[in-house]
Amino acid sequence: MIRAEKLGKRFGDRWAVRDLSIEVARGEIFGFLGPNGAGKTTTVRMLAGMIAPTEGRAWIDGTEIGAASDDLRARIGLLTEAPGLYERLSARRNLDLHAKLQGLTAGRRAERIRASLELVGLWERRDDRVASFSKGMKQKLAIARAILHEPAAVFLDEPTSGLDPESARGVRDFIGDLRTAGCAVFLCTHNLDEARRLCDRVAIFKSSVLRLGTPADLERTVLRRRVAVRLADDPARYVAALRALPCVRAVDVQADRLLIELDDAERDAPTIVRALVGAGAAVQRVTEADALLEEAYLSIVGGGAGADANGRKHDAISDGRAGDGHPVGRERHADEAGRP
Amino acid sequence: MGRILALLGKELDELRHSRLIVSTLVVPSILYVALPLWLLGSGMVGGMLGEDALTPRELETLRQSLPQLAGLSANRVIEAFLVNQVLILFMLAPLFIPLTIASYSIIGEKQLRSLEPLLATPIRTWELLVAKALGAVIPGLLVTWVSYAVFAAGARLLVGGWLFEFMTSPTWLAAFALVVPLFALLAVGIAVVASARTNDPRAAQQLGAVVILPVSGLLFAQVFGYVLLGAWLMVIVAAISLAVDLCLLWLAVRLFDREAILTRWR
Repeated sequence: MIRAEKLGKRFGDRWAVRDLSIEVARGEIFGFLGPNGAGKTTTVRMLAGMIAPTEGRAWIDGTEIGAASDDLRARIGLLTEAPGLYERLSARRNLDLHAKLQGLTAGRRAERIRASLELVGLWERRDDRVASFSKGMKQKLAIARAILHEPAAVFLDEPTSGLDPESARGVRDFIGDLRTAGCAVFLCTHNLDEARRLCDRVAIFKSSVLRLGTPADLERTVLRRRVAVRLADDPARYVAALRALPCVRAVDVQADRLLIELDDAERDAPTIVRALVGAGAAVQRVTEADALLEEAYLSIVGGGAGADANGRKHDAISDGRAGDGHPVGRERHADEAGRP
Repeated sequence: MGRILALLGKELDELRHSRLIVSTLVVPSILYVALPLWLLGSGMVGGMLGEDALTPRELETLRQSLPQLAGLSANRVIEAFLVNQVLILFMLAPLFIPLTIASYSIIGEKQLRSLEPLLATPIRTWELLVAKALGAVIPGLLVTWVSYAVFAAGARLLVGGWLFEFMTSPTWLAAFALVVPLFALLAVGIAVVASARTNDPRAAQQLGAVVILPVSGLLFAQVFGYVLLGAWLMVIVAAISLAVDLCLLWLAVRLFDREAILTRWR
């Protein structure tokens, strides 16, 4: 649905985006993660046919962006970082303008405006001025505008930025619905937890793609897994015993618990529980703490595995897809006997 | 065409909801029409100035410059001269009204960050430019033409047919039909160029005001009697306005490029 081949954009001497090759399928949520100034917005603008690439090619739904970009934009929905709504006008009037610009007929306009406003829960407020809306309502209205014309591909730039938790959750649920509706969703976000929950795949990006894979792949491959063990007695007493085990990479003491870094948490957790019990420890709880996407992100963007902003080269760790698109929960609790 | 009309409708809707701009349009226009009509209707023009307000030489100069006044009494020449000055003031409206509207409209979009969602639709940038220009020009022209029509009708009612004929002479009709729209386009072109460089509508207006100063200067020179706008001077003003409009249009089209708006407008 969305495809880019060696896409690049240069402003003066500086490459904002270089060598971007990605593919986003219908019904997939693709996370695009990167720090401020990484070139995410430039990428979206190129893929949405709003600015011309300096090099490379891109396609939306099989049509190459470029000469036909004006018509191509009718198949794209874009949520910009700021809602960009006309505050003196009503919610319905805002959508009506965009429906007309997207070329919807009068009958279809009325139908789609109602459907979109109902979807984001704003139908009752349709004739109110946007200026009277809360930030969350404005964001929802901007989302309604982005999907008003039933685009095949939707680009969302920081969709939950600045929203309260309840509104953010509503927006996330809605993004999940877009996947169900068969949209290809290109999600730019700083919110790594959001990426982890929503995205089938993520690209960590800083001028070029540094890593690409499912959130779980990134977490697993970039960082080792850790296990947290809470004890009834002083955890420091068991550090030496744990360090003697070959599967243990590192041990930290944090208050009443031990944080143990392992090669493979699932394989090695029973071994460390046995060792602790054997050493006389009173194990209260064993928690397998997955490495967080945030840590993987910081490790990559912070200069660990990637490349420099204007240089080369990423190594894609995986191109796989998550089975159901929903990564496993962050923590899995084990019982006191140490079965994870 | 559909997209231009859609955006134009939005521009006019927004304008209707802006009390500041509506009051800026309506209040001065009412004053510009009502005050001179009151002066003419009350007979104060002749009363204040009297038959000997102008020297015979000045009267002769006026009669020569405005041939329609030949054979009229001194009082009527003075009344016609007053009307002439008011009509000149009306010609300033299509400069300042579109400048104000276009500055607020374009910079307003920049401040609201609503240009990017707009540019993400299939709209062409020339369509966007045309809709913005029409959204500023139409109210400016309407206000000017309605003021002119009301003033002419009022003058006929209060003073007489001879003044109406003077106000609707071919020179004045050409001025309002041709020069006024060219002035309005000039103001919009300036607003587009200025708006691309600033984020403050007032700064854009001030910048625009500096550029349209020569035009205002010419009109004020007429008000103070340094020049008299006859048919030929009107043709010259129209030709210069047209040339400047074309230059500004070329520049505005270059500035109103999708990529330039997204990446270079600050």
